[in-house]
Amino acid sequence: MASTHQPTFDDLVERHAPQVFRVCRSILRDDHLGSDAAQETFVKLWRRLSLGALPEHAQGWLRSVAVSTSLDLVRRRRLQTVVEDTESREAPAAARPLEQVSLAELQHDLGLALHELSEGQRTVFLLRHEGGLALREVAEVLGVALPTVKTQFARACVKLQAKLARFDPDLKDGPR
Amino acid sequence: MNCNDSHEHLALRLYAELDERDGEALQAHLDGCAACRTYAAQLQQGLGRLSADATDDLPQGWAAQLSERVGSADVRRSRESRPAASLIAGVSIAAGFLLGLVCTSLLTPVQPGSGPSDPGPRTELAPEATLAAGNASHSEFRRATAPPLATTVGDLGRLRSYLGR
Repeated sequence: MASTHQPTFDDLVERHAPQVFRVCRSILRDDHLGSDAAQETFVKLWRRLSLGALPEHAQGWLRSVAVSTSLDLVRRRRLQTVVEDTESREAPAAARPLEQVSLAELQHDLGLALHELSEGQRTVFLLRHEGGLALREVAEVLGVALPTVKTQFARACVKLQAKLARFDPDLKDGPR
Repeated sequence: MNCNDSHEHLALRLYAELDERDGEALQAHLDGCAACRTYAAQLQQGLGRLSADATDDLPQGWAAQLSERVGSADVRRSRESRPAASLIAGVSIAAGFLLGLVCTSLLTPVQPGSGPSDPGPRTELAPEATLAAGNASHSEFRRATAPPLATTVGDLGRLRSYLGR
């Protein structure tokens, strides 16, 4: 008779902590806050296990809890990391082809541009781009249909690319 | 497919999220649109360079912090659950006491003449006396002399005396 091995709390931490941390950090865009949200996610798991209720699909459950915990934290703290001085940082960059723009500059611009997305677009984009979740997993975690998630993600990418393209005068005209 | 759709499809393709059918439609559009081919190259130089540069490494001391946090959550939970446990114990004791009272009253032997056909005040007549009076039915006699139903220690004496009768 096959015996079913129930993973312990430590097993689940060891197996899923890196991804949970990555998901939390992708939404919060901060190592410290991401770490905090990831720990909160596992404390919730611990409480659940101590009631004898092991989630059926631990990985999916942890992802969902990680996302909701992180989004709660975003709303509670009203994270406005760099929005306040967006205007001052929007100084026109010297026009040059994108391949000559440093990665740091691109990352900085991406951070600014993210605040111009709707919350839905931003969450979907970050979970895929930085959280490393496939769009199918993002749809599951958020409880949204996959085609909707794909549309949100694609539009977010187009908007962000348009912001990054401010460096490149050839790309400012947008789609033709 | 227009250029707007093509840009969205290119973004999905960059992240390997474009399905095969849309991929073919995109390729057909790109074959005839130089502007979108330029956009595709620029997308690679922009968003494409930023994708997947994050690592999965947990911060140092993360696991130790988690155990500490789980430990304190556990203590907090046990503290919170203590008043609830005392309440449950109290209610259980009270319920047990009430159940005992109810059982005791139910197990008290039924007195003759107290059936529904006789709603009047009880009279402490012995069965023999009732029979002698000639107004008791056979069932009333049996009920009056029926063995006690109790199995509690206190009623065992009565049960034994009945059986030995």
